[in-house]
Formats: sequence, structure tokens, C-alpha cells
Amino acid sequence: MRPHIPEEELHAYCDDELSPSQRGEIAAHLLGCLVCRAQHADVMELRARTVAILARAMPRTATAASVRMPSVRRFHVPVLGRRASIAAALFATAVGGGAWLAVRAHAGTDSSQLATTFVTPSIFAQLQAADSVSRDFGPADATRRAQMMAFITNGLKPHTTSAHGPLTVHAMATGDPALEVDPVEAAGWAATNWDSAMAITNGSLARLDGLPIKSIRLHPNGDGERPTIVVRQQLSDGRAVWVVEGPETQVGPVGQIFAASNVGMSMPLRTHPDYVKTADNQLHQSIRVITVAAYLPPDSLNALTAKLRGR
Amino acid sequence: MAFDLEELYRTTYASVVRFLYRKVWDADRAEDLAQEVFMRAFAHEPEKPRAWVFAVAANIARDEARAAIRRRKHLVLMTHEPSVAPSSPSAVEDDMDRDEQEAEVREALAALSPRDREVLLLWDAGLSYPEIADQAGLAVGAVGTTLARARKRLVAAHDAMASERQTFRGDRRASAHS
Repeated sequence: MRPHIPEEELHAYCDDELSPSQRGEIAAHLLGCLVCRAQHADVMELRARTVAILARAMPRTATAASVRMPSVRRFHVPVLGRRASIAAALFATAVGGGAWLAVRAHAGTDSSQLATTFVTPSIFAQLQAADSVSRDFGPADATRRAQMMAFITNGLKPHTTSAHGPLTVHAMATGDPALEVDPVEAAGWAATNWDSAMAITNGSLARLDGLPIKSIRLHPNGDGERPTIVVRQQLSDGRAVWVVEGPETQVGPVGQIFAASNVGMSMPLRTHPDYVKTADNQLHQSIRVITVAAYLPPDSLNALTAKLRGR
Repeated sequence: MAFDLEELYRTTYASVVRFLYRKVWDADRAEDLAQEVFMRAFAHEPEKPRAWVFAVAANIARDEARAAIRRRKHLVLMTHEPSVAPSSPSAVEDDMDRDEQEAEVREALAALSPRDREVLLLWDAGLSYPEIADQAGLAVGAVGTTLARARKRLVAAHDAMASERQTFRGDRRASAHS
């Protein structure tokens, strides 16, 4: 049997940075070595804590700032010189202002749509300025021009995939699956209202603090157990986020429903146990679990759990 | 492989902003610098675009810090207004809480050596060990060691500060009651 696994190798193992053969070797060793298994658990915890700590230092979303004003300060073009910067700022202000008026006139006040409108002019202005000055890019030929325009129109679409920070995503596009699909609704769960849900949970309905609630759906569980409840809320950029709570044994299947829609879930939080009376009048302990689901990377989801209420 | 700025932007922009933010601690500035990074990427069409943008981001952040020192200004003292005006006392409280938490992270990161901090932030930005090694001038085998040390120090420094904060709050509550 190989000697104990060095700590740095365990870090690389947890970070999935080893070759398949090295991984296999370590996995086999972990199966038979209690010492390394304990250290592996420590490394996993250290890694999770690092992610959680760093997640507390995220840039606040630029969405609202972008919506509020097409600020000249945001149109820095340092490599192009002062004149180009001023031209870019004026251009962007004109484009941004026009777009803002257009959106106000036609699209109501949905912040995500406004944000989409305003993130674009900033870099659009930079690219326009770069193109006209032609210092960094050389003569603007047709191909590069086309590439530039493709970037302007397509490259700034909002991020809906993982590997991005949680609240740095600029905007949601209309038609995004996060806006359209509710996995538990699709699974046929019954809708309920706030008062009923609060009554069922004795006032301890789990939800994220400060976010509007869009719907509440529940699934009854047997033997007088607390139902599994899914509260759908809305992040400030329009995306959906779900808070799932229920007995430990029942939350797993909900995770599968979300996983089928490619929606990630946070690490489940175990809360105080409920004691429920079964049909034959016996008391049994039921551990309540809460988790957060959204189209977000795991570290962001774990960070969101800090805002849970009703725990 | 052809250079694809759109794909690069889509997959790395948020990570670059986050990486820069933890260097300059100003959200607007981080976004400005990130846009500059992508403008440069567009002009240079690098062969390894993902590693390249982070290398450029690190250099830009370093230049920014040097310039700030030259001007005898500290970036940490730059104002960073909340992007949304708080609408209620609880929102104000949330903001204050968030600021405190962020200050703890900032101080915990400052407790790391520059190399450990760089490696940790690059890892958090999603770079692989070989990419981190390339940028930090380390052997690939040393990345795990560096990360292990950086993670331990970050958590230890953060826990120490959080505990100080709790003690301070306790003292404040006690003096308010007396």
C-alpha cells in the first residue's frame, strides 16, 4: 500500500487537476486509509470555506448603475487618447440616451431589459472609437469590421452558463429558460399562497431575504410530515431562484427535478429536527433540509444560503 | 484554433471582473479595466486567450496600484458607492453587513503573500493548475502546495477577524445595555 497522500496532492485531487490514473490511484487509497480519508475531508472543507469566503467579495452588480445613467466615467478608452475618449463618451451618451428613451417607451420598466440596453453602448462606444482612430487595430478591413459587429451584437449577450460570478451577470434576455421554465411546476406540483404556506410551516417558511416571491409550490409527504415546499423568488437581474425545503429524505428527488433542467443546487443545510406523529401514534424525528437552486455556479449558490430566512 | 473574442468574452468576462475587483476593490474600475483587457485581446488575438486575458488583467491591476501609490492615493480609500440606493433600513443594514464582510475578505487576502494571493485568485477565477503555473512562474507541481498554504492562511486570517468582530459587537452591546 502506498504511503499517506501528501496534502498538496489531495488539493490537486479535490480540484480535479490530476490525470485519470493518478485520480484512480488516490481514490483506491482513500478507500482503505482512514487517515487520508480524514485529511481529504479536511481539504474539502478548507476548499469549500475558501470559496465561501471569496464569494463575499464580489463586485456589486453593475446592472442598476447602468440603468440609472449612461455615465461618462464608464467610458474609459485609455489607449486611445483624450479626444477619442470624449468622442466615445458623447457617442455612448447619445446612443445610451436614445436607447433608454426607446426602452421606456416600449418595454415598460423591466430592469433586465434596461440593463441589456445599457451594457452594450459602453463597449460599443469603445469599439467605435477604436475603429475610427485605427491605432490598435490597423486599417479597418471588411472582415475585422464584420467580426467587430458580430462581437457587438452577439458577444454581449447575458451569461446564462456557469463559471461566472453570481451577481456580475449583466442582464437576462427575454426567452431565457430561467424566466420561462419552472421545473417543479412542470412536474405538476400544486401551487399555494403565502398565508397557507406560512400556516403549514408554523411561520418558518424558508426563503431568501429581500427577494420578491413569485410562487410557492408544495408536495405533500406522508405520515404527517412537513411537506416539501419550493419557493420561487426573483433575483434583482430577473433570474429565478428557488428555495427548496423539506424532510431530508424528500429533498433528493427535488434535486433530480432541478438537475434535469440543468439548474444547480447549493449544499443542503440541515436545520432543527421536526418530531412528527405517525399513523400508529409513534413520534419520529425528521430532519429538515433547505437548499437553494438557480442557474448559478455552486459557490454563488452556497453564498446565497447566507440570506436564507425561516431557518 | 481561430481566435473567438465572443466566446472568450462570454466565458471569462465575469471572472476577469471578479479577479480585477479583488485587486482594485472598486466595481466600476474593475469593469473599466476588464473592458480594456478585452479591447487588447481583440487587438492582439492571443494564442492562449484565457491565460492571456488574466495575465494582462494582472499587469493592468499592478500598473493601477503603482499609479495609485505614485499619486499617494490608496485605492482602498476610493469611494465605492452602492450600485443601488438602499430603499429601507434593512437594506442599509444589509449593505453595512456586506461592507463589513467584504472588508474582512480584503484584510484576509492582504494577510497572504503576494504570490499566494495571486495563485488563489487565479484559481478562483477558474484557471487550471498549468495555466496558474505559467502565469505565476511556478512548476505545476508547486501550485497544489501554494494553494494549500494560501487556503489555510486565508481561512485562518478570516476566522481571526470574524472572531474579533464578534467580540467587538459583544462589547458594544454590553456597553449599550449598561
